[in-house]
Amino acid sequence: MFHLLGGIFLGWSLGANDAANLFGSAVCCNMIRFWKAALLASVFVVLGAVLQGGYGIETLRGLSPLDLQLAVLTSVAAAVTVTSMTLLRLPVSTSQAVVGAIVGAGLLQHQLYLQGLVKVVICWVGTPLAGIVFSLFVYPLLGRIYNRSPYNLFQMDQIVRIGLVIAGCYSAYALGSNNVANVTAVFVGAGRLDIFTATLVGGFSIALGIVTFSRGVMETVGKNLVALDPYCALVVVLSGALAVHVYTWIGVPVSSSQAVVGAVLGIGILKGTQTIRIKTLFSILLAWFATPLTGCLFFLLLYFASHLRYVP
Amino acid sequence: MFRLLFKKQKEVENLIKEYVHSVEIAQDMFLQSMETYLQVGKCSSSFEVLVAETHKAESRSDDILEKIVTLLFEKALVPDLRGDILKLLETADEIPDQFDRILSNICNQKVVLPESLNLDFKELLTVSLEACSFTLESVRSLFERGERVARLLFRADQLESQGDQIEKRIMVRIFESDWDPLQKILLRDLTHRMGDIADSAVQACRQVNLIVIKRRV
Repeated sequence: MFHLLGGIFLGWSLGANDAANLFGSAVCCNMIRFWKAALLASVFVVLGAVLQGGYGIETLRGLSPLDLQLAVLTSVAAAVTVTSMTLLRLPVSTSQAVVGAIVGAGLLQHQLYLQGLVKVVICWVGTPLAGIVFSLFVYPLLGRIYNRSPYNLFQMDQIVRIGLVIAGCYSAYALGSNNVANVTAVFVGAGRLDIFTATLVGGFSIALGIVTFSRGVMETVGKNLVALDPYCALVVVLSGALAVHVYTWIGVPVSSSQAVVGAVLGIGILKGTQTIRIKTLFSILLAWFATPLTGCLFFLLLYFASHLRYVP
Repeated sequence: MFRLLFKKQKEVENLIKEYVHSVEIAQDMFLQSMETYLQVGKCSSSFEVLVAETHKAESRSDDILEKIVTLLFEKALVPDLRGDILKLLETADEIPDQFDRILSNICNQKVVLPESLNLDFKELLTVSLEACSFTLESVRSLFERGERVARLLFRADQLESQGDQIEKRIMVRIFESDWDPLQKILLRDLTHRMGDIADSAVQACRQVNLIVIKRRV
C-alpha cells in the first residue's frame, strides 16, 4: 500500500485539477450544488475507470518495463512535476508528466518502446484537434434540435442546465476511463497490481481529489466557460468529453483540459470570434514540451537521489 | 415530469406575466388620467383620484418586480439569462415610473395645458402608449417560440420616431407662443416626459430582441 502513495497523490491532484472541466459550468450555472456535482463526478469517474480504464493502462505499461522501485519513482516524479508546475502557475498535463517520467525510466534502462511513445505523442497533439472537430459537429447538431424544440426561452434554459449535468457525468466517465492509467499503470507494469485493482485504486484516488480539493478550480474554470454562454458551455463540455473518450478507445491517456481548450477554439471558429487567447494556445504548446521534459528530469533526479549512498 | 423540471422557470414566467399585466393596468390608468386632464387642461379632483390609482398600479408593479428579482437571485435561471432578464425588467420598469412621474408633476406643478396644444398632446399620448403596448407584447412573446419580437421592435421604433416628430412640433408651438416663460418651461418638461415614454418602451423592446438574438443558435 505504501508503494501506491505516489500514485494516489497523483490521482488526487488530477481529480482536484480536472474536475473543473466536468462540472464547472453546471456548478456556476447553479444547476447543481458543488457537493452533488462532486459526488456525481466521483461516481462516474470510478465507473469510467473500472469499465474502460484498462485500455490506457495497457498502453502505458507497454512503454517501458518497470520494477517496483522504478514504478514508485515514476509516479512520485509525475506527482512532483504536476504539483510544482501548478504552484509555478505553468500549464501542466498529468498524462504528459507521467509519460515524461516513464520515458526517463526507459532511457535509464535503455528500454523504450518507441512505437508506443510516438502513438502517445501523436494523440497529445490530436487532443485539442479532436476538441475542435467535435465542437464543430456538436454545435450545429445540437443547435438544430435547440432551434426546433417547442419550448420557450425559459424552458430551454432549464433543458440546457440539465444538459450540463448530463454532459458533466459523461465527461467524468470519460476522464475516469482515460486518465486512470496515469495514476496506476506503472504499478501494473511493475506487477504490483492487476488491471481491475489498478482501475479501482486510480478511480478512487481521482474521486478523492474531486471531493476534497476541486471546489476553487471548479468555480474559476466554470465561470470562464459559462461566460461563453450556457449553450456553448454545454457544447464545450460534451465535445471535450467526446474527444477524451475517443482517446480512451485508442488507449492513450490525454489531457482533458486541452480537449476543452480545443472545443472552445472550435466554437470560436464557428462563430468567427476569438474565444481563446493566443497565450492559452502557446501554453498548450509549452505544456507539450515542458511537462514531459520536467517529468523526465524529476524522475532522473529522484533516481539518482535514491541511489546516493553515505560513505563515511 | 416536465412540470417538475420547469417548476422554478414556470414561477418566473408567471411572475413576469403578472408584472406585464400590472404595467398594462398602470398604462390604462395613465390613459384615463391623461384623458381627464386633456379634457379640462388642468388638475381636477377626478384627475387626482385617477393619479392616485395610477400610483397604486405603479407600486403594485414595483412589488411584483421585487418578487421576480428575489426569485431570480434564488438562482432560478442561469446567470446569463438571469442578468438579461433583470436588465430587461429594469428598463421596462421605466415605463410605469414615467406614468407616475408625469402625473405627479402635473399635479404638483399645477401645469395648465393651453387649448391649442390639446390635439398634439392627444396624438403624442396615443403614439407613446401604442409603443408601450408593442413592448409589453414583445415581453410576452418571450414565452412563445415564435419570432415576433423583431416585428414588434420595428413597430415600436416607428412609433418612437413618430413621437419624436410630434414632440418637436409641440416644442416649436410652445416657444413660438407668447405664454408665460414659466409655463413654457413646465410644458417643455411635460412634453419631454411624454416623449420619454416611447423612448423607454423602445429601449425595453430592444432588450427583448437582444435576449432572443443572443439565444439563437
